[in-house]
This record gives sequence, C-alpha cells and structure tokens, in this order.
Amino acid sequence: MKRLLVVLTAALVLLAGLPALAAELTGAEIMEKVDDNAYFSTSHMRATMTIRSRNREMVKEMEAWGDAESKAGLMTFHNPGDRGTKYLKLGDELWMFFPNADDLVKISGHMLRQGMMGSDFSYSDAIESEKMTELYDFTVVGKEKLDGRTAYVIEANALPGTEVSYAKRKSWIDTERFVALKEELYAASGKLMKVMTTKKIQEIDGRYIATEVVMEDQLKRNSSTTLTITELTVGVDIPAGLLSLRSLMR
Amino acid sequence: MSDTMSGSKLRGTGRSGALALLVFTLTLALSAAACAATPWVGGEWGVSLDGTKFGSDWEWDPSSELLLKSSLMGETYRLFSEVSGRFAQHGDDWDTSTAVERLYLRMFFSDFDLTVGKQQINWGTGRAWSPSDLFNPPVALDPDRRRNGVNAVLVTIPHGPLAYTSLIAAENELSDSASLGMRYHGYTSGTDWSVLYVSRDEKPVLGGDIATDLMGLGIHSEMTWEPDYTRDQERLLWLVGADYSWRDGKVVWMGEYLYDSTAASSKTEYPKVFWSPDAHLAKHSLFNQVTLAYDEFNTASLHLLSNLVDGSQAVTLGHSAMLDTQWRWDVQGTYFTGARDTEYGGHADILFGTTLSYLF
Repeated sequence: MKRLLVVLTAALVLLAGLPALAAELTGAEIMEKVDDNAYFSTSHMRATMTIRSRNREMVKEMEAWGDAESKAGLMTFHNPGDRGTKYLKLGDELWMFFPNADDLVKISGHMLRQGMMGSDFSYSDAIESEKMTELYDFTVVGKEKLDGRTAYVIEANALPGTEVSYAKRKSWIDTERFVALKEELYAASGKLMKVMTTKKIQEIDGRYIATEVVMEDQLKRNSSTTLTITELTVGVDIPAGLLSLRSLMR
Repeated sequence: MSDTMSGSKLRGTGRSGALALLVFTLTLALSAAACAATPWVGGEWGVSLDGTKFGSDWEWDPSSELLLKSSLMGETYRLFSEVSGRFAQHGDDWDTSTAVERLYLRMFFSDFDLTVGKQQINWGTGRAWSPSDLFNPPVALDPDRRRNGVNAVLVTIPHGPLAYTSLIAAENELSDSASLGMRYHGYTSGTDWSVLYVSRDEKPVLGGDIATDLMGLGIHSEMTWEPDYTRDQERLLWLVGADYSWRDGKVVWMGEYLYDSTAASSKTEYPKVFWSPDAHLAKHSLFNQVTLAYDEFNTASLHLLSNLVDGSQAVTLGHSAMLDTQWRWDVQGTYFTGARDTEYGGHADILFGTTLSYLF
C-alpha cells in the first residue's frame, strides 16, 4: 500500500512538473533505495586500495567475489607485497590465508575492528553484507548541498540487538541517485571514528554505484585510503566451491 | 633440510630430486593446457646486515638474498615454485647458496586436490610453538622466519565449505621411513577444530587443535600425545594461547604457554645434547607478543620468550616499515638474559638484524 502511495505521489508530482518527489520519502525508504543500488545478489569486482599516510603511499590490488544470500565472499590480493593473500568470509566469520607460509588462520572476533591490510577500512567494513535497513533505524534530519548535489541528511542509529561496527551513522544521500555522498561513522560513545567520502559514481547495470570512495580514520592524523573499483560485474555465476576453505588454500 | 647448491654443486638430491623430476614431468604433461593458464612471476630481493654480540665483541655479516616465485594456474592445476639465491659473508668467507624452498604441482579434481612436491604443510594454530605442526614447525625465537618445505604428497578432500580431510605422505629426514598422516578439520558454532593422526618414525602421534572466541578473547589450543615417544616414555605436548586487541586493532597482544611432559622441570635435568629437533629444554615455556601499528606503514613489536624453568628470557624488539608499495625495511634486535647454563643465557648476548627488501 505504501509503495502504491509512493507511485501515485510520484505520478502526481511528475504531472505537476514539480521536482520534489523524494522529499516525501522517509529515512527508511531512502535507505531502501540506497540498499537497492548497493546490494547485489552476486558480484565480482577488481579494485585498488591506495593507502596514504603523511607523504607515503602504497597501492594494493584486489579481486573479490560476493554472494549476498549466503553472506559469503572471497577476496584475493594481487600486488607484489601481498600476492596470493586471501580472505574468506562466511556469515560473520573470517579466515585469512598467508601464501608465504601456506597458513590458514581464523581471524579472532576482536581483530575485525583492525584496518584491513593496513588500510583505513576495517575488516568489519569490508565484510559487512547485511542491508543497512536490517541494521539501523533512520531519521531524515534535513537536506544539504554537497559538491553541487542535493543530499538528504540522514541519521542512523543501530537497532537494538544488532551487532554493527558503528553505533551511529550520519549520511548524505544523493536525492536523485540514492548513493551515499558522504558518511560520518560514530562509536557508541558518540565519538567520530571515520569519515567516508564518495569521489566518483558510475551507472552500472542501471544502478548508481560509488566506484571511488575515500575513508579517513579520524583517530589517525593525515591518513586516508582510497578504494577504486576498476571493474564490477553484478549477477555473476560464482564458480561452484569458490567460497570455501578449499578454494582459499589453492 | 632444503635442496642446497653451493657454487655449482648440488647437495641433497635423492628423493628430493626424484620428486622435483616428477613435478616437472607432470608439468610437461599439462603443458598442452597451459594456454588457458594464468602465469605470474614475482618475489623479493633483500639486502641484510646481521650482527652478533658476544661479550664486548660484535661480529657483522652482510648478505643479500633473491627469492623468486612463479606460478602457473590453470583450470585444473597450479604449478608453483619458490627458489632462493643467497650471497653472504660469514667471518672472512663469502658464501653463495641456492635452495628450492617450494616446488609443487597441485591438481584439482572434482572431489579432492592432490599436491605433489616440496611444500609447506602448516597444521595447528600456534605461533611460537605448534605441537601439531609435525612437518614445518615454527621457531619460537623467530616465528616469522621462512619455514623449510617438505617433500610430500598431500590429498585434500573437502566436506562442505569449512571442513576437509588431509591425507599426507611426507619425507622424514631423520628416518628412512616416510611420515604418514591424516587430519580432519571441522567447524562448529564459531570454532575451528582439527584432529590428527600421524605415524612418524613408525610411532603414532595423536593430536588436535582448536581456535575460537571466548568472551571477546581469541583462544587457540593444541595438543599432541605420543604413546611410544621413547622406549619407556610417552610424551604430551600442550599449547594454549590467547589474543586481544585495543584501539581498533592497532595494539594487539598474544600469549602462548607450552607444556612438554618430557622436558626438564629444573635446569639440572637438562640434557647435554638435543637428540630431537622438536625437543624442548623446559617443561614450561611462555611466549608473549605485543604489536603496535602506529600508522598504516609502521609496526613495532615486542616478543618475550620465557623459559619458566630456569628463568632465562629472549627479548626481541622489532620494527617493520613499508616505505611504499614495493620497498620494506625491517629491523630486529634480540637481547638474551640468564646465566650461561640456562636456555637463553647460553646464546649470544645480542642478535641484531636489519633488511631492506624490494618486493616485485
């Protein structure tokens, strides 16, 4: 019924030639649209991670497969220092394979807050596969202009009983493309932990995808990590047995 | 341990050479399918300076090592090689050596993977010690040291995404008979666990390991039991470890305790000569490690290896810095405490090492 009302409202707005369709949306509805953009049943991507600290920079190349339904993913690094290092995520658990020692290690839960491969993205950031709407309660607190785009400003508070990396988020969501342009990530104490800024958005398979984002850890000075997706395919057929320890050790 | 060449002479051939030949033969057989394979060549070149201090004298040994890795990955196989070449000064002499660290062919069948050749068999969950790591055990004084490969035939049979059985026949350099073993790895409610049986020197070794989370702590443990360790003695090795982190994983602590039922409970019982490479001097040993990643590029570490029987310790301070994507600089110093008749007091006073590495 709610969806029908939204469609009717949209039709009326279009007929009247007014631009303010999405102003009617609630925070949850906006975030559902964000989830629709960012949530893939299956995907394969290649990406680079550029880690900067003061005047130093290093680049990591990676490839990842994801299956949202089984909350599973496999990530492999290809840059010289980490070539063959792999991560397997199944549910809320994470395993890591060190190729130099053919060593398979289960990552302890407390380590999931650690920066992945020395980056500003934590393991939790990397493996979180739930839809945002399953984890948070959202409130629209206003609209602002950001880099020339109009954005909803939405505050998100973790739903009771959910395990999330950040207790509170403040997001700037593009009103037309429903992509986060910026996010502030807070600890339960209210302390600002990280700021994520979207630098590039591309339309892929009819969805708007943030293909270049910068994460800044607010607990470190002069440091940032830029994640750039160089190739993304959604709805791929994941090879049988790929998301397993056997595949991790090959 | 490894197939080593000094100058142009090859040492340690025999079974190792035969296995290498087998791998190459199988590789040739697969070459027809190589057009669909993904190749890569990479490695690491390092320049090191190692120092040892005895009393007031320092001895310095510069060296350089090239580690060359190559891989050919096809739909149904992977060929991997890792070869090292080293040029080092020991006292007044310069020495060159090469070694095949790993050389294996892994073939992927629908129900199992078969790996033939020199490989690392990394069993267990321990870091400083790993009782169930019967083929490539770590060195407690330097847990990050590259481990020797072992000539072996390994079959890995998966039973779902998180469970598998490993069957192994491996060369045993201390005996004419091969080591034969099997290990089942499973996962239950957030816990990785394994059980193993190995016949080594025709004597049984039974064991197992777990890794789990308990009240926010990472916990790991291993145990092996050898009922016929010697003619009149059984042996129980037990390791328990824990880890925790603070400041979003920037500060990490890990501790391990090792019990060896056959080792000495006082230093007067210490044997004059070690007769087994995996023997321990002390019945009770402790390892603690703290690492501090103070930014994305720099990590400092402190290792404290303690012999709880004689009170001697090895204290290692290290620092690792990524200078950019391809250059890394490591420096490490170990200070030994204790009287000369203790485990660590019998070492040099200080060990120092620094390496500049180029990764490619």
